[in-house]
Amino acid sequence: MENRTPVSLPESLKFQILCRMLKGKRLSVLMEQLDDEQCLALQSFVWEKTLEFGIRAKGRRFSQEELLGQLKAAEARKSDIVYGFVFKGLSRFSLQNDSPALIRAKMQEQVDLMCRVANQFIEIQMSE
Amino acid sequence: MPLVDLDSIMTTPRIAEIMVVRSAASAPVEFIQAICPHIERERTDLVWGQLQATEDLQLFLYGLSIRSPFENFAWDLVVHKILGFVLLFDWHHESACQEIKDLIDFILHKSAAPIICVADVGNQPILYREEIYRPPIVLSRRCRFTFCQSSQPATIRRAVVALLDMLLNEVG
Repeated sequence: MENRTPVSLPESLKFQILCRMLKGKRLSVLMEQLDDEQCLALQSFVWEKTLEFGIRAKGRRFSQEELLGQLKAAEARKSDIVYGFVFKGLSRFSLQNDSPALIRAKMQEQVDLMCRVANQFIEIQMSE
Repeated sequence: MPLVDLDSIMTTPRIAEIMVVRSAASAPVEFIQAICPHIERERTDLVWGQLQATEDLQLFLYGLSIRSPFENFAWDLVVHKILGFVLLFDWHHESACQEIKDLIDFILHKSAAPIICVADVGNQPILYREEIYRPPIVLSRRCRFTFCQSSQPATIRRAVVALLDMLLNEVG
């Protein structure tokens, strides 16, 4: 397994990601402009914010298991997406045999999925 | 005999300066007015107000439009004195979001002061429940995000208090 230090996203990019999340816009469009390392950092940031919105919206009633359950349920409906992919962090490129293009496509789908879950906490409808 | 006269230091008036940059053609007059009872100067692209916070502490707020003076502004001379930045933008305009995005990098490069990005919804209601953006959403140790309604001075004051909290956390 390969361990690398994750890149940190510039604040300006985090700002852009947050605006898109709050407006219910897909992030896959934005990810097309980023390199692989930035995509991983974006994925991690979106995961963090999804958790944060869950906690902000539900307070003590929120649990990480609930969020994982929602992601699992959504992914179960898509047979070509491997659950765990999003949570294995930087090791995923060495663990998966898929092509880089396919990995990126899966990552984009998962980020959009996390945004949909985040939007349920924020209570907005995803557009674009 | 003491080397330093403590009394003279304690009574020296202190000034804390905050810069509010608005992504629009005009300066953020409403924003500054919500904080400062006394506006010192007002032009289309610049507004300057002050608030006597305590007997020996004055808060100066400088409001700038991102447009005209911005590129010619003497940033290198000014930014070191600024305690914190408010980046104000119209939430409903995509181009304003883009301008603020560019400005974040610019200011973080020029200054070590914290930034609060404030999305202004104007007269419209904030669509999100308050707990989603209060306390402000953390982008990094130096940069946070929240909302305000420029028609509601209380929401503006909350954004400035959030910036002051960031400053106090830095000290703490």
